[in-house]
Amino acid sequence: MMIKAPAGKLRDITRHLLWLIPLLFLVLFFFIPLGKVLLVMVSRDGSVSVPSIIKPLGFTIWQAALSTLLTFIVGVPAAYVFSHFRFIGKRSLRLLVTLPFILPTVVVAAGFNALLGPHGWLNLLLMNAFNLTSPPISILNTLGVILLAHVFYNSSILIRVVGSAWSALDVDMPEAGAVLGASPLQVFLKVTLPLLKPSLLAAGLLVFLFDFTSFGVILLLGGPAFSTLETEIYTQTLSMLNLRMAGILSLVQLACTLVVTVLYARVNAKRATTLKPGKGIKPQKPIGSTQKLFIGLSILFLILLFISPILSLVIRSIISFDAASGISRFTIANYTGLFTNARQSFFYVPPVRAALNSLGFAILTVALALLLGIATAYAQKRLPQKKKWIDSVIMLPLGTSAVTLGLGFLITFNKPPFDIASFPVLIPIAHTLIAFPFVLRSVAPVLASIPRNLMDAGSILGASPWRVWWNVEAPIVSRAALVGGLYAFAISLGEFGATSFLARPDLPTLPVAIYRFLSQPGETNYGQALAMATLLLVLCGMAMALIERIPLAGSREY
Amino acid sequence: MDTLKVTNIHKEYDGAPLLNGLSLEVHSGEILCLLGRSGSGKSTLLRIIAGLEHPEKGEVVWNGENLANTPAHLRKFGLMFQDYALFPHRNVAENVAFGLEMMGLPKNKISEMVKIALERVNMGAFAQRSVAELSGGEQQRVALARALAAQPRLLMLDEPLAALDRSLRLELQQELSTQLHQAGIPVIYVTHDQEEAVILGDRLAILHDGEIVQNDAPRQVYAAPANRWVAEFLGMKNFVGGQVSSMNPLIVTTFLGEFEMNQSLATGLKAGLNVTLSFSSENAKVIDAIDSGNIIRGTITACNFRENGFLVTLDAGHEIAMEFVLQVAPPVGSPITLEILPSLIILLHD
Repeated sequence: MMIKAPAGKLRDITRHLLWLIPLLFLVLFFFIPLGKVLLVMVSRDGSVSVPSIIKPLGFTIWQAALSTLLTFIVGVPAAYVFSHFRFIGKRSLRLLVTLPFILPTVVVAAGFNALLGPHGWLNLLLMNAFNLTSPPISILNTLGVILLAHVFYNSSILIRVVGSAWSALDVDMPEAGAVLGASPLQVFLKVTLPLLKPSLLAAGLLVFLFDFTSFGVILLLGGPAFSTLETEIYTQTLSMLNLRMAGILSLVQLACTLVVTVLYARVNAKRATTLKPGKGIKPQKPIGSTQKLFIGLSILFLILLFISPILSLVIRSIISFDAASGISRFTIANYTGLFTNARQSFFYVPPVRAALNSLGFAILTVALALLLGIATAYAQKRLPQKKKWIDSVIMLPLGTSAVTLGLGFLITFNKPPFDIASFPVLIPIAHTLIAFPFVLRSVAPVLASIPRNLMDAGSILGASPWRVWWNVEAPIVSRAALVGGLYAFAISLGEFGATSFLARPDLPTLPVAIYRFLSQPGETNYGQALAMATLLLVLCGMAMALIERIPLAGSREY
Repeated sequence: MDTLKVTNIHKEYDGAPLLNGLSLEVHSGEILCLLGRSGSGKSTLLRIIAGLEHPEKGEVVWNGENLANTPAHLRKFGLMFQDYALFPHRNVAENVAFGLEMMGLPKNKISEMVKIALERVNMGAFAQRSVAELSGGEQQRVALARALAAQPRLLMLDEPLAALDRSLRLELQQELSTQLHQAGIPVIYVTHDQEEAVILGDRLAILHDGEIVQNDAPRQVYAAPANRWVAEFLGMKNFVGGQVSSMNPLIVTTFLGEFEMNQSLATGLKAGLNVTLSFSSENAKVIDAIDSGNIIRGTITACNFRENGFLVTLDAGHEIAMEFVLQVAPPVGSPITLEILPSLIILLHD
């Protein structure tokens, strides 16, 4: 009989302990709240009608499908341009189109508001030019602006996923088609498209999922006229206090997202096997006037789509506008106003407080997400046979809507000292659920890429295990952890869905404050909302810029 | 009879000239082996003929028709890619059917033709397989079936056997030769393997420095390489410079002594001309020292066993090292005398 050495046993225990950290966290803060949401359907009273489920469900699917279609129309040509051509400023343009990915929904909503809203740039300009008394463009609170914001948000996914697949496409394939007599159109339809199909499907499902669970955009830009499952859960919970209905809607929402997530996972697994690395397309300079015109127009369109809301937001935040005289001038009042309690009211919180709250929550989120993410990465490395299983469990919160998560927290943690009134740490905990998979995704591949013999070399050269870890592994892992931490920071700063359920009236975060200010009338509120959104934009932009500057093992440019 | 004529092709790659005024011709029923080092522009030439790339200068002409404005898909030329470029989203039969679909043939006609094409390469049983499941040799056969099924007017093959192991390569060379001759169309076969080129080619075109430096039947190329580079590329060894000292009999005087050559090599020579000789490393005869012509003397510096004998390196003086395969193994350091028959000497014009 073999007797295990005590040291081996100890290692076994620590392995499983590592794995317990994320597991316990998920059970406590994800599975139990989710279970409570489902239980609430039977345990609570409240009126339930089928039409009030069907209507938001129908609209959710409709707007998500339409948004996805439009995202394809914008994203596929852009993916083509990025994967096939070289042009001046390509790097900057790529960074620009990636920016929305990390922008909080409230910032995007504020941006489109500053561009197209009744107090927005375009309307002010048109009113001034034609002496109009009311804003001529009224796109706010229409389906149009919802679709526009979704396209703005998700085109980057399409460009990333489809663009990288397209550039990795074996160059021989389309040429083999041409030599066999296929015209350029036939090559596209019969060779390129079928080869890109898995990536197009994967990107499409991901975009659909994001549009389906979109919350902030619908609430802030769509207004009360449009309700999706997400906003309906919010309304039923916080306005109608009909938790039963909210629970049922959450269940419908969960079922839908689960179906899409499973489909996505399947498509994605297939995608990995169809690409042959190494013989990808080499981007060329555009030749001929048709190509140059096409590239030029594409770039112009992308710049307009991606820069105009962001730029409008920043500029509009430093311009004051007097409706009576029609004069606009430069001002920093919107920023200085952030520091004063103008209204002296009990529930009014000066914006600077909200900013400090956000920072505090973000720092806590970073700490928690790093702890969980790194522990999970090590657990995965030590227990490779369980990696797949761990992976899918950890990704579950990402596929769950933030609103459902918020609702779950609200119902589960309802007694002091662990209710939302007395335990604000619930907010960073909710953020951590969304953020720590990003830490894991940054750290795990890097950890796995450290070759065993690097550590062995250290040992043979006389270093103790602890020294080997400190001198060899820690420096490599810490860079990945920094990237993951920055993601967690940006995610926490911008999170709106779950926070809108959990933030105490006197303890709002920046996104919550922006939402409040935007939904109140008056030029001052509007200006300050834009100033806060600009602040958030700058913080998230800085995080993004840092992430882009840190090279990681295993990441690939396209 | 169909003829492809390529004239004065110039093509740059990364700013440096790759093809430099290249010209060649190939006719129906003929396999032209395009032979050259890797990176010499062989594949690029095929791509230019196929219409996938455009030369800076020069013409591709099919039966008198300039193809400059004919795009790849209308040229009706077949091209078999080096790693076959089988479509991963289509099974074996669907791959072979691709070209026929592009012709707009009816479905039943296509499946009939696909069946015949696959039978011809002994892949009939694989019709419904995924191409990812095929071995290298099977992929090669499917790629050939796909190229031939489309009934091209001309077929180009880019190193079709390079990805396969040696024994399979030897087996497929014969098969391929039969298939290609049966097709009866002009064939351009690109390879960097001299042995393969000799087995398959009716003619060899040797590409060097962006030009065809020699274009002849394989026998002719081996009997009279156009220059020192070609001779070395073909694997010839033991080069020694000399001067024609007599025209009849043809005798060349070198540092090593006088060598009598085959009289047939005398064309184009005259007494006093500088030439280079290459002595075949095989079939040299070890003899006792007699002072006469066609003799190489030297000291053994190395002796290593090979499958066909002992590879002996000898120092022939004047800093000339030579290699010969002998059936005996003389001790290192001992002197040796070899007799080289006139038929074993190749003459290169300087």
